[in-house]
Amino acid sequence: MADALTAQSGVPAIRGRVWGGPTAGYRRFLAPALVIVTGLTILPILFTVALSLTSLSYTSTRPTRFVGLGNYAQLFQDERFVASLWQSAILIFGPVIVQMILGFLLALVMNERLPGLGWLRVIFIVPMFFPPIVMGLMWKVLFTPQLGGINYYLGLVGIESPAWLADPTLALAAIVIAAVWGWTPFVAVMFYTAMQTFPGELYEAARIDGASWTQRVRYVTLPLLKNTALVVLIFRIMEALAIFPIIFVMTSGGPAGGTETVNYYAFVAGFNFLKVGYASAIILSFLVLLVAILAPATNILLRSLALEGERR
Amino acid sequence: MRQRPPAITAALYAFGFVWGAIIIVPFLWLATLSLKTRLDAFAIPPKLVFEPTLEAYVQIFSDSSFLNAIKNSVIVSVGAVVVSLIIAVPAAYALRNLAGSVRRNSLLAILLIRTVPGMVYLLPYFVAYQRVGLLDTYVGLILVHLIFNVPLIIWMLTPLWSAVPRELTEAARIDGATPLKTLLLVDLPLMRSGIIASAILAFIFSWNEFLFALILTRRDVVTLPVAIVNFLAFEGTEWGKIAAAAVFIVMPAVVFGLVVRKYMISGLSGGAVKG
Repeated sequence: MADALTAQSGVPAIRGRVWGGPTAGYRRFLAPALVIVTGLTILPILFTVALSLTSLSYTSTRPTRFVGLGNYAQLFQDERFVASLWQSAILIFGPVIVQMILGFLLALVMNERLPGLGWLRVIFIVPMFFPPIVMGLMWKVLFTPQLGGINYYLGLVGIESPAWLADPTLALAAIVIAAVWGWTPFVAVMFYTAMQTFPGELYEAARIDGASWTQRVRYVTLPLLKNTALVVLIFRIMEALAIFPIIFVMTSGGPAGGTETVNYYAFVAGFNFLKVGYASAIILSFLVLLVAILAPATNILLRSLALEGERR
Repeated sequence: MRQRPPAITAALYAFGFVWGAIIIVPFLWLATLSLKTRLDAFAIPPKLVFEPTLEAYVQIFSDSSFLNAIKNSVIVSVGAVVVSLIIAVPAAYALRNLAGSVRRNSLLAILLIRTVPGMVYLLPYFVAYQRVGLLDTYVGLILVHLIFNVPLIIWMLTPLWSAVPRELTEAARIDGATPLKTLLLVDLPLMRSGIIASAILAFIFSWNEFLFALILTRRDVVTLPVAIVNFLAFEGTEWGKIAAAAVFIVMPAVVFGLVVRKYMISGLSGGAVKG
């Protein structure tokens, strides 16, 4: 961020040159976007930090006051917060692991260019354009007894009507299923795109050396895919809680708070209980946690961006 | 990867077809629900063959709140895309022409914004909008859409643009054209299809956006994803109507999405994975 800002302050120096070379003047094109985007994001984040240090609550009649780290201290005693952390971990890593595995297999299928499966390459990615709210609605319908048919067909194979959205464990499973449906295509398309760039000679050489199909996948494709896989993993973890609309429409965080993620809890605290200060502390704690988990991994992103930057 | 044992080929086919079915069947279920009468919708065993009715569609299109939501969704999505393009296209153009370190740091800064869960933004925007009267306004909603659409377009266009040869740009610059002139006369026409694709993708993201619309709109500016939730809350038993609304919301996103699918990866990954 600091460098991005220095980049802007460098504008006059560039303009001062008589003929600044082919990059002169371009920074002025970049500056508005950087200023607007940072203004629309950094300022609100700072505002959230400020809010999290206050007792702002729209239900309280007492005047808002500065409480320091009081909200954060309260978090440690808040069982609902701790539970929401666990549920977040389940609803982040559960779907992401399944998405990575299925996405890899799907990418393999696409990459083989099997005759008669061309249409599947199109179908595969349709969920990527689905509004998450419709995804949630669709799966809510499917999991609703009578309406959805899932329970009827499970009944035919001897599984007696599980109460999908009324049982905390099954509700988590239902949300995982919806998230896998929605975001596996993203992983698959990323892997498939990367696979297309792998040099054919490597596969040819492996084949001449007598490597079987599975060995080629294991010893050529997988190692080549490692960096892409890490980048995709980071993206998926970062965006995993974008399943908010799905939770909202399928379970509203229930039953008994069993599917409430941290961002959902912040939503409830902020907009149902109207405790804005406390809600800010909830979501910021989560942001810090997320950054702490992802910080080591961002090196990888940085490197791949660096490559992109120097490729020109 | 041509030679495969037949067993592997069979397994790949099987997996492909199964996944195809997993994608299609849930949506077909929803779509048929929108064409069923109430009685057929709750029939056990589920009626796979039934007499379709367009009743639900007639209902949603005669519902003034739904029509209003369509209008709002179009205004907000188109508005957000236009403003985002005006901001992001010159930025992507600059990033393509700037040196490695500026480009890397800017892309990274823009990328970091994506790490932040939407809820972090929602609270301060809600508090601020309430003070300044931007709740339930087009301007207020379009403004927050810039948070995700401007980065999206920059990520998508920068790598695409970098792949376009720079000789023409440099020739124009050496002939004395200003950067702005070069952009408008030389580079924009070359990037036309990429820009259209990024606009479509940004449109889909705006069209689908739910969280901000849920909190930052009240009545006048309610968009389709929120309208459908209102259906669910107030007419929770009208499944045909809810399904019809869902099908209607999905359609533009899917149709447009398929048009631009080959551009999508660079937009969603910021060029972090070569596309």
